[in-house]
Amino acid sequence: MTKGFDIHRVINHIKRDVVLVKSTIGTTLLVSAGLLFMLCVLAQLWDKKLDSDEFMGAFSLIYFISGSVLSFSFFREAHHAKANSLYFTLPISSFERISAVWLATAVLHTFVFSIMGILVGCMSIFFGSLFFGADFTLSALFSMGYWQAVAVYLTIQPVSLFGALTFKSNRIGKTLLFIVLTVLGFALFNIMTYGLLNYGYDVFDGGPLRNQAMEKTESDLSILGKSLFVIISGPILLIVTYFKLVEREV
Amino acid sequence: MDFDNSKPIYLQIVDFFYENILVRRWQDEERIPSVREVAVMVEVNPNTAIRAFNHLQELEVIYNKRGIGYFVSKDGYAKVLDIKRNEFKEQTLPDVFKQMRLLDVTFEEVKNLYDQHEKE
Amino acid sequence: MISIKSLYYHYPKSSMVLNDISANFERGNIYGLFGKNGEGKSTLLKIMSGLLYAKSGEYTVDHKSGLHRNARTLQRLFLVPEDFELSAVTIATYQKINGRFYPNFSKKQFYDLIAEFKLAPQHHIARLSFGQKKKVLIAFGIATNTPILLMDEPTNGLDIPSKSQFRKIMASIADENKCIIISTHQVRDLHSLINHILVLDEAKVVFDASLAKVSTEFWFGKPKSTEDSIIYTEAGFGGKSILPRGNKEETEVDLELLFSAVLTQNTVINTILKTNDHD
Repeated sequence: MTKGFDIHRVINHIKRDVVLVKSTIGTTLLVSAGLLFMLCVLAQLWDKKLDSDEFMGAFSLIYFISGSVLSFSFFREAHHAKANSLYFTLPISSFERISAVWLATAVLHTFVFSIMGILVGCMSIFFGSLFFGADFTLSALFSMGYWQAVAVYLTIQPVSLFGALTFKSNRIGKTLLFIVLTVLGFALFNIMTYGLLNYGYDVFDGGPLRNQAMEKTESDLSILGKSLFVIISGPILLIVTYFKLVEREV
Repeated sequence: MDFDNSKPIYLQIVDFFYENILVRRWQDEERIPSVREVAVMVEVNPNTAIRAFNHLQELEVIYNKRGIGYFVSKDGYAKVLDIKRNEFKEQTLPDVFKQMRLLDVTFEEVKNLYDQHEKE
Repeated sequence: MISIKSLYYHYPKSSMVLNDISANFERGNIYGLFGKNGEGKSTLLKIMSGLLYAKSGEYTVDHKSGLHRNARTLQRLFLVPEDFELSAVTIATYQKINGRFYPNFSKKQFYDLIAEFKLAPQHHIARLSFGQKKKVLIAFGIATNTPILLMDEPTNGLDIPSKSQFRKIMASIADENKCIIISTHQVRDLHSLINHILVLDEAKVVFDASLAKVSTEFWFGKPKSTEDSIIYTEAGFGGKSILPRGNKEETEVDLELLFSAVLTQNTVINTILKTNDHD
C-alpha cells in the first residue's frame, strides 16, 4: 500500500524546507546577486568588456559558496534537542528525505542560481555599456565553463550536506577541518604509495632516470588521488549522509 | 462534571439523566444528546457514556431510533420516578433510620421538622 | 493494532530502561501509560514512533514492523512529545507545511480546534507560550487523523480550564478506529478518559488491564468491617483501600490508589486478575 519511494513526500519536504529556510535563501541570493554584479562591473572597468572566463570565474565562486551556505542551513531541526522529535516523526523515509534535501540544495539551487546569474550578468553588461561604454558581450554568459562549474558543484556539494548533518555546532568550521584532514590524508597516502611502489628502484638517489620515474609516477598518482577524492567527496559522502540519517536516534 | 469517588462514573451519568428527566428538562418522547455529546459534556471516555446509555436502555428509560438518536421513553418520567422512589425507600431511608436510632431522634421530632419545612 | 514483544532498550552506558516489554494496543481504547519518572514511559513512546531503536524485540503496527523509522508506520501515528519546539512560523504556515504529510489531515478540524483553543491562524508560533504551543500541537495531532495517537504528558503546561478542554476534545475524538496512548504521572487529570492502564516499573510492565476488568475484580473505598481482606490501604485516618470485590457493588476505580497498590502489591493484584481470567 505504501510505496517505498513517494515523490509527493519528497516534494512536500522540499516545500517545507524552503519555507523554513526562506530567510536564509533570500539573504544568500541577495548577497550573491550583489557580489556577482559588483565583480562583473569591476571586470568591465579594466578592459571595457566582460569575457566568459571572468564571468564564469565570478559566477562559480559565488555559486559554490552560496550553495554551501545554503546546504549548511538544512538539517537544522535534526540537531535541535526539542524540535528533532517532530522532525523525525514526519512520515517520510530517510531515502526520501535525503533526496529532498539533495534536490533542494544541489539541483534547485543550481537552477535558481543559474537564472539569477544570467539576469545579473545581463544587468551588469547593460550597466557597463551604459556607463562606461563596455562591449555588449552577452555571449560571455553562455560558455562550456558553465557545465564544468555545475559538475564541480555537484561533486563537492555533498560535503556540505554531510557536514550539516554530522556536526552539531560550528558546522562550517568542522566541515572545513574535515576536508583539510581528508586532503592531508590523501596526500600522505599518495606519498606512501609512491614510496612503496618505488622503493626497490633506488629512486631517491638522484640521476636522470630517477627524475623521469618520479615525474611519471607523480602524474599517475595525482590522477589516481584526484579521482579518488572526487569519488569520496561526491556520491559516497551522499550515501554516508543517508546512512547517518537512517541511524539517527533522538 | 465533578465525579464522586466511589460511585462508578457510568452510574453517575445515569443519575445526571434521571435528574434531567425528573426536572422535566428532558420530556417524554424527546430527543436527548448523543453518546458523543454526553461524553464531551461530562469529559469521559465514550465507552463509559455508552455503558450509561445501555443501562438506561435496559431499564427502558430511553430508547434508540436507528439512525436518528436516543429518545426518552413514552413513560420515561414515570419510570424514573419509580426508580428513584425505590432508591429513596431502599437506600436513603434505611440510612436515615440508622442515624435516627444512633442519635436517638424520635419519629415525632422528624415529623414536626417535616411539617415546618413544608410550611416554609 | 500495535504489538510489542520482548522489547529491550538501554541508553549508552546505562542500565536497562525497558527490560523485556510486551504489550498489545487495540483500536477503540484510551490507554494510560503510568510509571514513576524515569521508568521508561517516554522511551517506549519514542521507540514506537521510531525516534529510538530498540536493542532487540519486536514492534509491529498492523502486522508490519515499525522498529526502524519508516514512512508507513509514521503515517499511522502522531506523537505529542512532552517537551518540544515548533518551527517559528505562523499557525497557518505550520499547518500548510506539515499537514500535507498526513493523508487524512483535516484542515477544518485543525482550525476548529485552534479556534476552540482561542488561537488564530495568523498567530506567530514563536510568540506563543508553551501551553499555547502545546495546544497547537495537540490540535495538529488530532487533525492528522492518524489511527494511533501517542501523547507524552499532554496536560503538562496546560492550565486548569485547558485541561478540562483537553478532556472534552479527547472525548470527542475517541472512537472505535482510534488507539490513543497517553503517558502521564498526573493520573487525576485523565482518569475519566482512560479505559485501560499499563504500569511500567523498574523497566518492566508490572500491570496491564482494562478498567472494566479492574472494576469487576476489585472494590475501592473505605471498608466497613475489619474482617475484609484488604489488599492495599492508604496510610492515615480513614484511608481508602482496595479489596477483592466479591459480591460487593461496583465502585469507580481509584487510579491513584491502584497505581500505588500496583507498585507495592503487584503480585497479589496480578494473581487475582489472572485466576479470574477465564470467566
